[in-house]
Amino acid sequence: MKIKRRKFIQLSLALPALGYIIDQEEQSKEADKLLEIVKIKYGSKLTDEQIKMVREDIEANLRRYERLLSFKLSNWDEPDFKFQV
Amino acid sequence: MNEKDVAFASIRQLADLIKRKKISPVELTKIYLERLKKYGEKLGAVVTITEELALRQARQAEREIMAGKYRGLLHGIPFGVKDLLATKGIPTTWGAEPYRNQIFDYNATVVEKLYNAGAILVAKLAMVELAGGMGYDDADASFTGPGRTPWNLNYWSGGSSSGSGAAVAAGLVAFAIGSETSGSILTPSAFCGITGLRPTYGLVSRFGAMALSWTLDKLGPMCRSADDCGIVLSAIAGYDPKDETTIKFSFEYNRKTLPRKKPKIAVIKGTTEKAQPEVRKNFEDSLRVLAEFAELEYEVEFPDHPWGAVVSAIVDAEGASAFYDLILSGEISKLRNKRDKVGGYSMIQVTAVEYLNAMRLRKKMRKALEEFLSRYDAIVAPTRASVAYPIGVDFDKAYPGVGGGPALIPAGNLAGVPAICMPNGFGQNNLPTSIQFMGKALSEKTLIQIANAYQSRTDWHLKRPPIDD
Repeated sequence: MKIKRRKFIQLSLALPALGYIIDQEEQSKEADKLLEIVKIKYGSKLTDEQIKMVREDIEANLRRYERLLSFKLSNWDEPDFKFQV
Repeated sequence: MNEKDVAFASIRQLADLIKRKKISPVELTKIYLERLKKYGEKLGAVVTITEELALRQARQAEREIMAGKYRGLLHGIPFGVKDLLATKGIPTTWGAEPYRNQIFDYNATVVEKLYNAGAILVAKLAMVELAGGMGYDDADASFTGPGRTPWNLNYWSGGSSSGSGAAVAAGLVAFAIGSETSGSILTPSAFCGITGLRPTYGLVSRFGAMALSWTLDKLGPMCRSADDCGIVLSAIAGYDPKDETTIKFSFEYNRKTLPRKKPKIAVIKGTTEKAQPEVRKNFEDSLRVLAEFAELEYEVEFPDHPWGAVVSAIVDAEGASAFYDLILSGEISKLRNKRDKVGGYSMIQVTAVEYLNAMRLRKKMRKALEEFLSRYDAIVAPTRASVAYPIGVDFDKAYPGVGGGPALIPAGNLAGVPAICMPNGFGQNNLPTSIQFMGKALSEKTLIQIANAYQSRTDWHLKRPPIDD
């Protein structure tokens, strides 16, 4: 079981309190563009209702990404896996 | 002991009956096979009953035991596995319609290890399709239909190891194997009123298991007691050259009492404020029991990090990669749940940079959690803030306003640390509530000892669901 994407829509409401302001209009435009890509590539496989759900998921993912960006990473912070030979 | 008592007995009790030749592996296997046939479908818990294989294995176990070749506590004990573990020649469906006829010609390492211990496979157990990776939003998310908790058939057995939870709780198997990416052992264990153990990442080989998220997936025991979890974990743990993430660590378990020094347990702040009242009350009652043998530190702040967001980004990226072909081909539309049918299309849009940033944050967060957990033998919290969700209702509408506070399940999975959960009472609609202990990496023995101490003072784990009534 994982955190649902739509949960992030609710969670994002708390973000301004954390000092992070989301430009909802800009995000909505970005979601539209990403949805266009989905429609172009896979639109024939999706109903209108399903496209609506994909849009909700995309919006939630954008909010999640904004949230992750609000946590500081330094240049030398490496990912949590290692390449070894 | 009548057949029903036998079906609900612990592994140690069953092993004793077998060793003393009070019951044969064949008789025991037949008891579980009958119960699987009688209740498996009703609970939405079973994909395949492996009757032929089980009876063959049972006869072999019987011959060996009669000849004095006793392999140990699991010899002759029937079990089930979540249907994401490869079993040679038997369908392994991953709970999903597109893989319904998938058959592998090898066994998962965990299955092989259990066979070597003399255990008997009686069933492949139902699961949420693709272990829930596509974002399902209600209980109807498997081609076998919704899993039902045997405590109340109108409620979900939890996911994604749904069948493992329900089958153990209803006495259809002596124990089961589940998997957890983020909550898939603990949640069904909580909703079904059983004891589940999520091991340290890398302690148990995942060779032959469906991959959802390579850096998060773990396999672990789901049983009727902590002692049973210890017995099963000792059989399945260990380094496996076929899974390069496994660690060279020897896990051996012998039931023993707690060390003389009281374990130090942190009670996490804020975990019950928005929980259901019964969850809160049962948790407070449990703390009083724990205080009899442990040193409790109250109101401990859990490290504040974006646990859920990071886990979600990682599962989306790794899951989309693992099931890329399924998504691109459109076969994903054959999944059952309405959200699963479309989830992949947003998941594949997670960028490489987002994934890498999530993994970079993960390293910092893992270190923070390791440091925090190093101060205690365990931390304690309710496993879930509510009892099982009703079937037919979207999860987010099931219990409005109920929440669990700090995100212990995503945090523990992100850091790859172990946890054990067990029933601690009942809540709404006669559904079980649950308590969890989480500890630092490779602290399974300590967690099991604490859980044993709790279960030796309570009888919640011995309660039986009303399914036979």
